[in-house]
Amino acid sequence: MKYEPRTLGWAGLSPHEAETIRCVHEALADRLSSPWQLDEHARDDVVLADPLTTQGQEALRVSGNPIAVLDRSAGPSNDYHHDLIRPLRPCALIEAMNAAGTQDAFMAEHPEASMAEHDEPPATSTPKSLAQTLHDAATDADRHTVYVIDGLGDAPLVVDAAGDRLHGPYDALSHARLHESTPVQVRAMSRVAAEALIRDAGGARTTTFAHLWRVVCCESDDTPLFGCIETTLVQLTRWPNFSTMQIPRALFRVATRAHYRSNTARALADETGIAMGQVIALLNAAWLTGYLQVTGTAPRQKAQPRHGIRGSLASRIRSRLGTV
Amino acid sequence: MEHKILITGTMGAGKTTAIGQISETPPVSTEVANTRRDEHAKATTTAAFDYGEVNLGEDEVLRIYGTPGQERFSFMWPVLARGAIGIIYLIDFSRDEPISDLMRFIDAFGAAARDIPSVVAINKIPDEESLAVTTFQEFLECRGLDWPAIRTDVRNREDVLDIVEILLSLGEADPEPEEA
Repeated sequence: MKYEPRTLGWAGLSPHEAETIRCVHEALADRLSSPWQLDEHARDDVVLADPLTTQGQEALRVSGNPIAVLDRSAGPSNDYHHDLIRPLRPCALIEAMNAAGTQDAFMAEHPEASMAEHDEPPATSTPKSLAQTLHDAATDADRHTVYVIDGLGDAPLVVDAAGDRLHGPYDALSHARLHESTPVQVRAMSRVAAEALIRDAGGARTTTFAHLWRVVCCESDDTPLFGCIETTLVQLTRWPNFSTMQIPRALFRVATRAHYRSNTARALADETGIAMGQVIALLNAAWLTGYLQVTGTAPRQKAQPRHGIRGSLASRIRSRLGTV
Repeated sequence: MEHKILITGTMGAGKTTAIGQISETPPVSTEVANTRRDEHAKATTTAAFDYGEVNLGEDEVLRIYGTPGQERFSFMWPVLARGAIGIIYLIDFSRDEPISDLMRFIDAFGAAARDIPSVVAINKIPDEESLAVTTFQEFLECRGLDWPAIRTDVRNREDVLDIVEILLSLGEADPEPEEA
């Protein structure tokens, strides 16, 4: 089912704040639980307004769903049902938009919309390994589908790639478990149904895909999950978060090379001089969390180490700074 | 032979501190009393540019320049960037609109600087702000800029070395040639 986008407006905010809203809306659309249209009018479905401006006061008065944007110096206020404290931050903004645009609110305003279309799809058993299932969930083009894996622990594991979260017995995702070829039971469901499942399960066992990355990197042996180290060409599809993934500095070179061009694991190890085990660990983590794609196969041959001018300059700088 | 790394960012972003972490010589800092307390509350600021260096031996030196952060000096930024082996965009996340800050700096440096290996290093991120780096990363992608963003605390030398390592790695790894 397609939802009518809700409209988000603002009043009395600075141009830079408006820019931040646009940036969040454009760059983080997959973290929003419902579609939005930005439209700078005070009578939109939801309006962000500064009560210290005339336009903001007017918007807070006429809007059915206003969010006051307050200066930090003003401190928390009980005057508004919803408020955000300056500076506008992506987390808080996304949370506010998701709260304002929840399915419940939408359905309350559009009772004609049938819930039948949101019914959970029937559970399907797939002949996939746990690792393949996680990879598929992380790279699913339909970023609003949530996957539920049964049988890993006392509760189902909810894999929500768009929301960057794993909910449930994620501790069971050990390296050994990821290499098991035993098929797992997987259900695809809507975000609404998944939220209900999480509520029913209770507890707060939620983590992010970065956690999964770190587990794979720490526990990895020399077994590649993504294919053959000699012939499978792989490439990073986006930059990993070097901080939250806790990528060791020694592997930055592998990450940048894997980002810029398709390479085999063997070529990456040869070109950078990094141990194959570490290269495989990085690529395994990237593959499992949806950062790595397989781009083809290469003939089996040994790559030539690079000795370019830039490479030697980098080596001298590294040596001098003590980073090698 | 001389090589140059540029650190740019708003006033108070931590450029002077970052240079001090890696320079082998005491950084040359042209600090004067800050007359723009509306931009940042610190008492002194950089009037020309900060400068540090790493001696690579045999008359080879890596020079690290910090640009003056005030926008009225933005005309200097692309000039300083010429010939640089890397640019570090140091963002002060505690400011009101850090994304817009980055946007202004990218625009000020101009199209020529886009081919220089660059890293966006985000300083002063509160612990609870888990989406900050992702926001910047995806924002860069939206702008068609294939640069990594990284969280940093320039008070830690290791963090600054991480940034330099990414820059060096970018310089070593040739981007895939675009298809005709």
